[in-house]
Amino acid sequence: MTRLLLTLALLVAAGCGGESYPLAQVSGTVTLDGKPLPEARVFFEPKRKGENINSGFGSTATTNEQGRFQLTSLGGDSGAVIGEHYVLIRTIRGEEGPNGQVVIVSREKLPSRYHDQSTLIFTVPPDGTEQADFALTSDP
Amino acid sequence: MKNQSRQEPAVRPAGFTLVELLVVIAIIGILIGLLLPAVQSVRAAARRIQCANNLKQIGLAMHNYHAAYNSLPPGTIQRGTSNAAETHVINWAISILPNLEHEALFKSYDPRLYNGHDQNLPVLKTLLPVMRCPADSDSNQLHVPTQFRDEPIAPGSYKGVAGRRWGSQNGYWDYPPFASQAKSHLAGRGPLHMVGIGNHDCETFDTIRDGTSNTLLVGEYHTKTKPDRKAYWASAHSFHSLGTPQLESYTRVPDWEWCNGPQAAGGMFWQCHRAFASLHPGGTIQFVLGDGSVRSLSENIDGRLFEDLGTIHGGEVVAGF
Repeated sequence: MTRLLLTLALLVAAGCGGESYPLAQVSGTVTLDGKPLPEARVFFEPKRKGENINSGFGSTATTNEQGRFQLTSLGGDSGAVIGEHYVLIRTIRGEEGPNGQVVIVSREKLPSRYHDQSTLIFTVPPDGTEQADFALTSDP
Repeated sequence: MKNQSRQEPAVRPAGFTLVELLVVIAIIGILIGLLLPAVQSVRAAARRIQCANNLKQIGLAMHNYHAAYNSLPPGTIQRGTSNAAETHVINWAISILPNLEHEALFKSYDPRLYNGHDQNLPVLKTLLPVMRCPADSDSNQLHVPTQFRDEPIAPGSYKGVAGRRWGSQNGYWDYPPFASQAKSHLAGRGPLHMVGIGNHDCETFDTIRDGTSNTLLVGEYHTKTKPDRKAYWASAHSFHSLGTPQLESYTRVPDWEWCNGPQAAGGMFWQCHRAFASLHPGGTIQFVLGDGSVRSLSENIDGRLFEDLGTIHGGEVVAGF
């Protein structure tokens, strides 16, 4: 009976799996003009390979006082999808006013080439990395 | 002893033993257990098809509208750069009502008054099946949206594709402080954007240079939290009836609260205002394209490709789409 149930469970699991995107552990440091940048939000968004239009869910993290961060997938697990990523780094944070207006809690310290017009790319290796380091400069 | 055991079959009452009964119940249980998910998934698939059918109707109505006016409808019309209710005039969904066989409803809307005017409220309060996806939660009753007067109006499940987001803080290319004729901004325009500010006009199939089969026109938005952040089909506020394909994958999750949560946008709540997402299983988001075809995109889609599909003039290569 247990064996039958196990087989059934396996069949169901095999039948319901769509595309899967394996994760690897990613941590690193963000510096601005050589100094660690705390409270920065780091966004990794997977880049597609070849003709497949899907690439998986992104990962995010916030840097600590030492500028260190460790990515967590938006799916909830620790890490980021293996492969190339578009990377965005921001320090802006807002709150919503009573009529929906934007109340800025933390200003944007970084030039737009690191977020809204970001060209940063990072490749997550299959066995992960602890050196996802980004040395940013504030010159426009 | 021998005698007793020989008599046993005669004493045993007619019927099933407990074990037999338990086995039968277990088998029935397993069968129901197998059947129930199948039934649920069939129902979910039926709802998804119904939503796709609505999109197909909307796409056809857009084409009919274009045949009549030689232009697509405006995403929304805005009379001034402030966000006051009086500045909102009309949106794409009200504009195509005559092409959806709702001529009478269209005639009862007066675009000379503003969108949320008392006289226009009955239209905004109409629950319109073609604008509602049955998979969308809690959309069969009126809700009071944010950034609107304190009146409950009818939700919808679809948003027009407005184009790109370039900047922070509501930095949508067509949004008041950003709406400009700058080349970089024009490269971000989508087929159904705000019209009336920054000298922007309605688009036509000719201005969709990227090709109508490579350009998203209208797509689904559902949220299971924050009913005040739903899509509202007849509201001319751009957050209620327009969407913007964005890079970040948290903008493709049908949960406004989570989208703005600490793991996701983390305070950049303006990104969630113009999101696309659906409650279909597997994170499928359906869109009608400029050519009238309906396509299902995955929430796992490459974010840059998704942005590119929302623009009409970006000149991007969308290989594989």
